[in-house]
Amino acid sequence: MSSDLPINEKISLKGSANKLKVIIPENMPEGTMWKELDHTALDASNLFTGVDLVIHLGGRVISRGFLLRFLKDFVISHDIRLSSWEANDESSREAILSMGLNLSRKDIKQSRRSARRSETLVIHSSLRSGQRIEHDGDVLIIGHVNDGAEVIAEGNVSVMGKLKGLVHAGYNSEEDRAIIAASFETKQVRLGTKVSTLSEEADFWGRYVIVSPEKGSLLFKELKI
Amino acid sequence: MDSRVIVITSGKGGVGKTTTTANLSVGLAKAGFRVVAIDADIGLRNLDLIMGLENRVVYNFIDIIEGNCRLQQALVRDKRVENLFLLPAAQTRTKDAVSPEQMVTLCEELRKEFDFVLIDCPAGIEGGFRNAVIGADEALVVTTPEVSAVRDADRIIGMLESMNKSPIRLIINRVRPNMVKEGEMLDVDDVLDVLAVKLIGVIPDDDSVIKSANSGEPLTFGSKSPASQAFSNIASRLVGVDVPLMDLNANEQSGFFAGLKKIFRI
Repeated sequence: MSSDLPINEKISLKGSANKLKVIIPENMPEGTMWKELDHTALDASNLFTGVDLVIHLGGRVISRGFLLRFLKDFVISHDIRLSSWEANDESSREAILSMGLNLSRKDIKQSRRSARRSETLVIHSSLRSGQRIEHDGDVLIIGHVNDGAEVIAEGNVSVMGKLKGLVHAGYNSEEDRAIIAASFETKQVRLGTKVSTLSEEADFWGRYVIVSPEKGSLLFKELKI
Repeated sequence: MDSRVIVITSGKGGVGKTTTTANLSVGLAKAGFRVVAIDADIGLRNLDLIMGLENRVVYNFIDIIEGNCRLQQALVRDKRVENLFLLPAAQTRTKDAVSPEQMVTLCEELRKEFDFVLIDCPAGIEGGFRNAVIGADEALVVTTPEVSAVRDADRIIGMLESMNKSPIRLIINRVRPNMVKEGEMLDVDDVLDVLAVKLIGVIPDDDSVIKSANSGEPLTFGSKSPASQAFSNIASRLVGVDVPLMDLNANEQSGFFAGLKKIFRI
């Protein structure tokens, strides 16, 4: 590694169990970065042997062209095993995924969250049997969800009227979502990968209810505001 | 008056679409309107039986569409009341035998001749339903106070709304006041709460309906039964007469045994 750069602007390495993280400062000019990467690979080649590398990009905005060059000049040239990427920028994460490369688990979650960042869908009417709403964000129904209607959302779902139909919140398998109904009258709800079946005997039947995840199962709680 | 094309539909089978079509057709014709009832249930023809006209069916509306006969030849005139006609369905064909465009053309032709064109829609939500509905301006949705029928009616109303049919009005058929009172049957308010459309009539469950269907004599020809009265009231409401809803509990309490019960306060 060249030593003429300030410490906080150098490419650094951070090890964990069987992985080695290559941290690339996000403000480092690209020209310098390629040179530094090359030096790092040569200087630390013994560290890279038999270890999976995680490339940490911070907030750097990268393109598919950047990735291609990275793979060619760094990964292939130095015979490196690459495990995954960490990126704070959404477009960078998208570029990584679009090339079939792996994001770290934390970033996959973040990426899903961002994808779901679209506006809340507000429906100003009741949903009748057979009608189905799918949305990649939160859904607010100002009306009833009748028996036979379906609301499928990646975010939270709130029903201001009677919930008699099916609601699936956190459709992309994320369970930290909630379903709220002003009058809870449905026999099944789905949240993330969890499905819960209920009967009219439930204490909260017909009440103002919030459904949320709790220790691996679903918690039904009457909302008292 | 401008001609009105009304589809009688439900989604679920067996809730009383055909009976309603027959009775409203007779009720409107008796009020002096020129009425044609179309059986759009191709392949499962029933309206001719309920109206007691089965022996006079020669052509059907597929024959008109295929050019085998003229419209006037296929129309079966009901001799019991003036201005009432039936356009029967083909029993030996399937619902694919007619296209939506042909159905629209047929309705437009009938519109020129009649004050009311009532279309008896097949059960289901597939092509047969769409063909029956496409030429109509407005809809009467028939349901019974059962959760399955209500759910299907809800589905149908959603589809009718998306097809811009208006008004969409509801008929609740086979209501049994005793069961409602005991909490064993949905009441009118329960049904309206879900379906949220305007109610045009409630028909009490009545043995006379079965007898009339079997005899081919729609109740509105002159029966005094509560169901007959309810159908007549709906026919009146269709033409804008303000008739209050019947008190079904009053009907429930009439009769000899009900009288005895009253005396002995049972």
